[in-house]
Amino acid sequence: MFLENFYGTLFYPADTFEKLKSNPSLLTGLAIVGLVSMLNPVLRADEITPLLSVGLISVSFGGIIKWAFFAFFIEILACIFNRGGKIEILLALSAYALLPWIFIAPIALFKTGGLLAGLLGALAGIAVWIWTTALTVFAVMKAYDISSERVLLLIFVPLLGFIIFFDWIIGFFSTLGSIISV
Amino acid sequence: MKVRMISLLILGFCLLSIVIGTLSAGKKQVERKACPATPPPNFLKSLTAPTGNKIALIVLEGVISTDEADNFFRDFSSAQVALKALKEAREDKNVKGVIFRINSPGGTVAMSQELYNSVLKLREEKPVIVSMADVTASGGYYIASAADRIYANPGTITGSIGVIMEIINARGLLSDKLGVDSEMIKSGKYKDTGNIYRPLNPDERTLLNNLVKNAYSQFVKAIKEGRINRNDGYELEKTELTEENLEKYADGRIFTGEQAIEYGFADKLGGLEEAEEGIKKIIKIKKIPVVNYSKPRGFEEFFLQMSQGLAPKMPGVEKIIPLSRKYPRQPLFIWE
Repeated sequence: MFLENFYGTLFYPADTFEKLKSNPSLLTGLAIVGLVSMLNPVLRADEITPLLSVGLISVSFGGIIKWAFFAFFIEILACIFNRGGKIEILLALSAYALLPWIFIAPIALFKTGGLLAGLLGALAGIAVWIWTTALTVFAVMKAYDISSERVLLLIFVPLLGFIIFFDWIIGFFSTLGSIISV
Repeated sequence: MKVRMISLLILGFCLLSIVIGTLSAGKKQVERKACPATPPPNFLKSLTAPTGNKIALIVLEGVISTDEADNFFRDFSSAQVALKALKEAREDKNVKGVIFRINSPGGTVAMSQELYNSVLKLREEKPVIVSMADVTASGGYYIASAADRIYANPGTITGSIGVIMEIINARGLLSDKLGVDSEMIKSGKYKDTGNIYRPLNPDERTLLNNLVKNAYSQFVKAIKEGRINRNDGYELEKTELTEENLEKYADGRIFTGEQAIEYGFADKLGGLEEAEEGIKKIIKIKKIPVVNYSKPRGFEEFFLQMSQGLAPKMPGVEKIIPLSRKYPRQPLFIWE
C-alpha cells in the first residue's frame, strides 16, 4: 500500500492525494517526516560518531515539530475563513509531499563522487526542492479544496499581518515614548 | 506489481546512496585520522589570527616620522606601525623569518634610527630580508642596511645617503614686502638659530654644519655596522660593500637598484617574490605562509576590510607638503 502511494505521489499526485484524503494515515506521515528529516544531517556527516545518532534523533524530532506546526498554522488560517477541520488530511498529504526529497541522497552521492559537477548538482538540488514545494502547495490545495491562487494568498496573508503588527508595535512604542517624555 | 517494483527500485537506490555515502564518510574519517590535513579556511577561523610557523611581512611605506601614528582609517604601513610589527615579529616564536618591504624616501633621523635598531635586534634572532620597492632612499636605506640581505628591483631608486636640513630665510617677504618684523629675546646666542626672519650668521652656520656632519657620520657608521660588518653565515648570495665604495657613493647621490648591487649597497635583483624565496631558502622551509604583520589580523582584519569600503583612505599631509617644510631646522635622512 505504501509503495503504491509512494509511486503515485511521485508520478500521479492528483489521484494519489485524492485517495489519501479518504484514508489519511498519521502514523505513516510521522514515519516519512522523521526519516526525511534525518536525510540532510546524514548526508553532511563528516564523521561517524555515537553523537551522530543523538543528533539524528533530535533532528528527526525537530522535523516532526516543524511539520505539525506548519499544519497547525494552515489549519488556523483555514478556520478564519471557515474552512477548517481538515488538519489530519493536511498532515498526511504534507508528509507524502516530502517524499521527492529522498532524491537528494543520490544527487549528493554523485556530486561528491565527481559524477555531477558543482553547478549541475546545485541545479538538481533546486529541482528537488521545487518539486517538494510544489507538492506541498498541492497538498494544501487538496486538503482544503481551494485553488492554487488561494494557497498563495495563504503564504502572503501572514506576511501582511506581520507588517500590520509591526506597524502597531512601532506606533505603540512611539506613543508611549511621547507620553513619557512630556 | 509493476508499481511496487518501481517504488522498491527507487527507494532501494536512494537507500543505497545513503549507505555508500555513509561508508565513504567513515572511510574518509579513517584516512583523516591517519593523515590529518590542513583544515580549509572558513569564516569563523578567519576571525582569529593564524597560528603555526610563518614568515612575517612588514611594510614600511611613505615618509618616516613619528607623526604617522596608526589610525584605523589610514594606511597601516607607517613607521610607527612598522616599529610595532618588528617587535611583534621578534617576540613571536612562530615567526621564522621576516621580509621587510620598504618603499620610502626617508624621513626623520631619530625614527629612522629606531627602526634600524629594531631591525638589528630582530636580525640577531631571525633572518631579515629587505625588499626594496619603488624608492628606498636615505632613511629608507638607513633602515635597510640593518638587514641580512637587501633585494632591489633594477629600477628601484636608492642611495641618497646623506643628511639634509632646510633653513628658510623669509626676511625678504616678511620684513621687506609685508613690513612684518620680529624681536627675539633669548637666553643663549644659538637659541633662535634658523629664525626665518634673518639669515644664518657664520657661527650658526658652523653649528648646523657640525650637526649635519654628526648626523651623517651616524648614517655612515650605521651602514658599516649593518652592512659591512654583517656576519650571518646564511647560504644566500650576497654582495660585499667596501669602505671605499661607501665613502665614494655616500655623497647624497641616488642610484638605481642595479647600480646598488654593482656598488655593494644591495645583494640581489628581485622583487617581493624573490625575497620570499630567499627567506625560505635561509630557514629551509618551503611550505610556510607569509603573514602581513603590518595589518591587523583575525577579527580586526575582517572589520578593517569592511570599514575600508565605507571610509576611503585620505591622502596624508606629507603627500602635499615636503617633509623639510614640515620639519624645518631639523636634519633629515630624506631624498626630496
